[in-house]
Amino acid sequence: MSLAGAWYLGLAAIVFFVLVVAPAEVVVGLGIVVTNFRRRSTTVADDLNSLRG
Amino acid sequence: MLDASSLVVATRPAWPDILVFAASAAVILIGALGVVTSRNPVHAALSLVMTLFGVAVLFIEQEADFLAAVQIIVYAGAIVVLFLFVIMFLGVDRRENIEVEPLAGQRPLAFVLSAVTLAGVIAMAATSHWVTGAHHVVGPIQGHITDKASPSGEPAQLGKQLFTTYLFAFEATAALLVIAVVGAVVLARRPPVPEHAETERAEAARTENELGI
Repeated sequence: MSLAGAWYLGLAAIVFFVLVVAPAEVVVGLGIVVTNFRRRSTTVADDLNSLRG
Repeated sequence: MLDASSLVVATRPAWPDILVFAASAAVILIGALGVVTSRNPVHAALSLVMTLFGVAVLFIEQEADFLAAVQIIVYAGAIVVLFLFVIMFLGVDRRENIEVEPLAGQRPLAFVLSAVTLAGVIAMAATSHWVTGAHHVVGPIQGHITDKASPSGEPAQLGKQLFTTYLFAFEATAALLVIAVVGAVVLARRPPVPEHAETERAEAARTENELGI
């Protein structure tokens, strides 16, 4: 709190909102992992090469 | 401590700051490279923990202690554990031979590092405040914009800001999280039996009836 004032708290609030957005992304990522596991029975990223030309 | 004028005038950072930044930046970069290059998703998740710890050190360096604590608790504590839980749940837990050491001499090294850590904790407890690690604690923590009638400190002020100035954004994040949860449920539920499969089965049953099987 040495960088006094609402200016600093505003920055902290922005970082806070970024922190909150991340769980939403994690939820989507885990959903993709689970769906992919159902289709291909693997979680190893190297095996997911069906889009490779 | 910085005053208002030093916010405008760019000051030369002291060498401990540079050292801390360089060390944590190296940790962050190594961890980030580990996340994208690991074949094993568990190793990728652990590299992610490494990166998040480095970012937390940077937060402390910026004197944003509350954000550093939130970073560790929310990211390293909750999200990575959730990730590991899902990965383990999906069955990466193949049988391992625990007699073979993947790294040569990792067991003696583990003992040495544990002893060093224990010695560090004991030394810190002996020479300074046992909870905070501060060398001496003088009274309650004083905030710069303390309101006498309200609790002081960064979390209290941040909370007040969140529910007043940033209330709309706060509500928007609540909606975002709800949408994410609904999306996760939609992604994770088993797909319903498709319509045409249903009619096909009914048709097959009807032909079977007609043939008298």
